[in-house]
Amino acid sequence: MNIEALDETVWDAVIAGTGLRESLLAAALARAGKKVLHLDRNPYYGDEYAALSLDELEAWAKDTGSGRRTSVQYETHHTPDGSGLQKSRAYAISLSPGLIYTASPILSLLVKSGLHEALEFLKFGGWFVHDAETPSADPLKRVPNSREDIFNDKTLDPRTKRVVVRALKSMVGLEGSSATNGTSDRLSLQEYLEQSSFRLPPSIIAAFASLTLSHDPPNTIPFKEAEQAIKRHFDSLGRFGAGFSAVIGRYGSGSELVQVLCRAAAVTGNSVYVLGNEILNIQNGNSIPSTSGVTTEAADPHIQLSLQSGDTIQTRHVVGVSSNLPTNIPTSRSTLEGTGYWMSIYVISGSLEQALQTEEPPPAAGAVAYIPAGSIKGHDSLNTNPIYVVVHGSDTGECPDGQSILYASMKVGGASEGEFLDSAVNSLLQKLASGNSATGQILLSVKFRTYSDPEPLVPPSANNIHVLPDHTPMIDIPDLLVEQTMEVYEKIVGTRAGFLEKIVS
Amino acid sequence: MSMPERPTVIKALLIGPSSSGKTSLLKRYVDDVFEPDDTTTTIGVDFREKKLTINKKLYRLLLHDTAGQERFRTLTSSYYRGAHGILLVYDISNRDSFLSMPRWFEEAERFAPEGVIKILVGNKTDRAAQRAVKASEGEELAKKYGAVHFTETSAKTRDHAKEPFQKLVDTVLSTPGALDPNRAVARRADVVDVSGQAQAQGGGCAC
Repeated sequence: MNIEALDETVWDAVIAGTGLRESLLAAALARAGKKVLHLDRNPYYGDEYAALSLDELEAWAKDTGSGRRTSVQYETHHTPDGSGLQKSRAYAISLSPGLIYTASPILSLLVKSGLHEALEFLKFGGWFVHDAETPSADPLKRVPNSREDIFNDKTLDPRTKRVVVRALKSMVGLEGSSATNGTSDRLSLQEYLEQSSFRLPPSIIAAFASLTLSHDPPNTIPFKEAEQAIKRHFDSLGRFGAGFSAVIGRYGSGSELVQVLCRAAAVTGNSVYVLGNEILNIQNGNSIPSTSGVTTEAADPHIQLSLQSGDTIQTRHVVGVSSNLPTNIPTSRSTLEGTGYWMSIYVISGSLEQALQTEEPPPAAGAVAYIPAGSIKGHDSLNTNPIYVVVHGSDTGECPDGQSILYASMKVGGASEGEFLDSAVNSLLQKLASGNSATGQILLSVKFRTYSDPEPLVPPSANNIHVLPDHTPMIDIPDLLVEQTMEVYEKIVGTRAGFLEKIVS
Repeated sequence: MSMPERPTVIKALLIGPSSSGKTSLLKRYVDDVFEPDDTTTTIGVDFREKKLTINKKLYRLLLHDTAGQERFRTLTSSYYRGAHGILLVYDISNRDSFLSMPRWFEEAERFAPEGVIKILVGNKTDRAAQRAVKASEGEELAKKYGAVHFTETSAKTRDHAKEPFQKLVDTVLSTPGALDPNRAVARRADVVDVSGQAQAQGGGCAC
């Protein structure tokens, strides 16, 4: 494409924001021969999936005007031994851990479209349960992945071993023994595992709960939901190597994925990228429905956009989340805030090898620790919701050698306030140091409150303005994002066939 | 299973302002060898490849072009990953093109792996009448920003058109450590093959 100015063409789609769905859509549309103008108001790619240098992270923390984060606290700490933060550019700190289950449709889509070759996926190793009450000399408790793991576990008595295997079988449904029947549907995960046929102890229930990635305590996770999530974990296990069910992309996972998708869009010659620019106003040529019964004038069918750069451009479709679109368009934005979460990102001195060790070499690049409700002390109470701490080692390319990145998250509610995250991380760091290595120190932390998606809204696509549902990345990259992207793609292209795979000139 | 010797991959990038002739230079270099006839650009291809045999050793030179993302300076940082060498190309008949080069050097410095080999290229010597940048200025700039080589070329007339590529490969091969596959990050964790070609061993829920 040889356009010197943005206004010399009528775009098929203008996409605001370079989040994961937007970038996937841009690549798929550009490959389908559609002319795409892809904008991001930030000077970097990725939006909520960005990976940032320290300077960028600090600016991001201070920019509370956009996005859905509040109560942002950015703190750096000095260590006595001088093993502190390195230069800003030595970091590419992803705003979310970006774990991808190996059975995820995102992965197969990337493979089918050949884009996986531009990415490096690393093993996401173990799930751990960290109970702060256990003696600090005990190693971090690994969640077993197989019958062998369970039977080799010296902390379990023979009866418990048999029951755990049976409970697992009932959920994962191997040997066609889909033992879960209608009566389980109303149970919580905890009730299911405590029922008379299992009577499993809290430590085992915590292990099961950790595999769900649910931020609710096991007594409020609906059993059906837990069963699906646990099944996903075991379906993913062993697909690309023994002993792991998930991968992360090197250099920030979601962030790198976004950039590869945007480059894939650009190399078709159909997509133009402009960062630091956004849509200020949308004028729809024929947006006003005729109420008088008179045919609306055969006005310009194109949507006219005013950009922050001063350009006025024409397009057939506009796509973005509501926060990336001007406020003058009607959206069914929910007044509900969805569920609140405390999230915190840490840079740690120390490589936290104990968490990244795996039975089979090589070591993993990431791991997750689950800290059950009621195990972390705050000022005058215990955490009422569980806390997840995701570990990223330096193999991810996100931090210098000998350091690590941690992502802690917890649902807001009851006594679950932000202070618990620091306590949980410090407790975990002490546990991980209980070998030969020195305790990792927090060098930097960014803590904030955010809220996850409210109930999934069906966003309006009136007048070819496609509003993507709000999305806050949590621990994994959910399959739902592919579905939402394909929905918009279908509205623009008319079919889902060949999504991202076919390349049209 | 015995495998034939895998060629060593050399990843090279072209960067620089719009209309400096990066793509023409790339095509001239690649197509002169592989496809003497003029060929159309393949849509959606991420890079052009050239196989080289140097001292009886096989190399795959992968040449990545900007895909137009230089126009608004929106090259992704992932574009620079694992690059061994970078050709920074400006147009000698366009003063602004030359004046933008410090920013391109800075971007390369920021995103490319440490120790990447940089070559500065002043393209379009066929436009001698419109020359707006002296060769000595290019020479100076190359020195200032640590480019190992400077050359003026014409993709149109083939004048020195192969030289920057050959120089890049020579320098990468003769610089100790320059071919180290991952200078930026200690590569401890192996990359997982998600294409499923590598057979998953064991694994699965054995319960």
